[in-house]
Amino acid sequence: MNKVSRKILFALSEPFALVPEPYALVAKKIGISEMKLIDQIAQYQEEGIIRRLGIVYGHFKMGFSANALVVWKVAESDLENTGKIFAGFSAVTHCYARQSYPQWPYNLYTMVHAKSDKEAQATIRQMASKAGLQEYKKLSTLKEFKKIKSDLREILS
Amino acid sequence: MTSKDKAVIKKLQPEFPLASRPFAVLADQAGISEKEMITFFKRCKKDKVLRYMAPMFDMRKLGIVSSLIAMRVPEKKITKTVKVINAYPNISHNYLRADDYNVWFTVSAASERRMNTILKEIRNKSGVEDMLNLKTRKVFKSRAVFDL
Repeated sequence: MNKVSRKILFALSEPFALVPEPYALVAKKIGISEMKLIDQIAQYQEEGIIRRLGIVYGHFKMGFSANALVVWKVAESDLENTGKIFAGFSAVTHCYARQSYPQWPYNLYTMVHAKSDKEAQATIRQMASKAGLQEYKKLSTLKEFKKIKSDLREILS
Repeated sequence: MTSKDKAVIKKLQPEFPLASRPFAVLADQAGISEKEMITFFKRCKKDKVLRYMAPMFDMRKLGIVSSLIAMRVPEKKITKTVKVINAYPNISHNYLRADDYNVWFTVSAASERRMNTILKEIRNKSGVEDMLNLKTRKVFKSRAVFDL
């Protein structure tokens, strides 16, 4: 990564300002033209470095108050197929295969968002039945200790 | 959030437009003026309905390693352990969950080595040894947009 692109990446790690021309503001900070910045962002999107330019809402405030991490024990041979099945649920925002341990045999992880516990339960039951799984755990969120936007500058420096 | 606010958000694409005047593009989608759109978002931000608008990076493509960590922390050590964990800018999310493994956090670092150092420091400083490093093997879905 060269010096200029590092500077661009770090500047883009901060949320956009709520002003009429937010890109012009970021470009000014970096010391390049707005057009150059917009071109660079488009290139990052093409390369997949930027997945998307997101408008991120707070789910609690949006009425999604019943969130749970559900962990599943899936046979290795079914992992790919089950992952795809779960990813197809609109209530599932994240679905990852992860390393398991003898004392923690769960290898598939899903974040389920719902408006109520009842709704979350119903979705989880539906997931279990569709994938034919019995061994899973619902890990309800009891408290949020920290939730921040990752800062590239802090992580990469 | 009022039902009127919800109706406005519902009309908006989840993408922040890549255009010189992005709020004018969003305002068109919502059928209001650019100025009204910015005022609307400022209020949403204040009410914490809106968290932020920003590029979502693929951390892996930037060479950043990330993981989910679960710790089994005795009740009386929770406060101290959380303080130790949250002190790192590398930790973006940290939750208390209903299980014997009760403290769950995400960690990102510039290298595997840096990550291991951070995890070791957390174990040493908190005095809690039982930690699972639940490394990502495959991402089937990662999304932050919701049906309203």
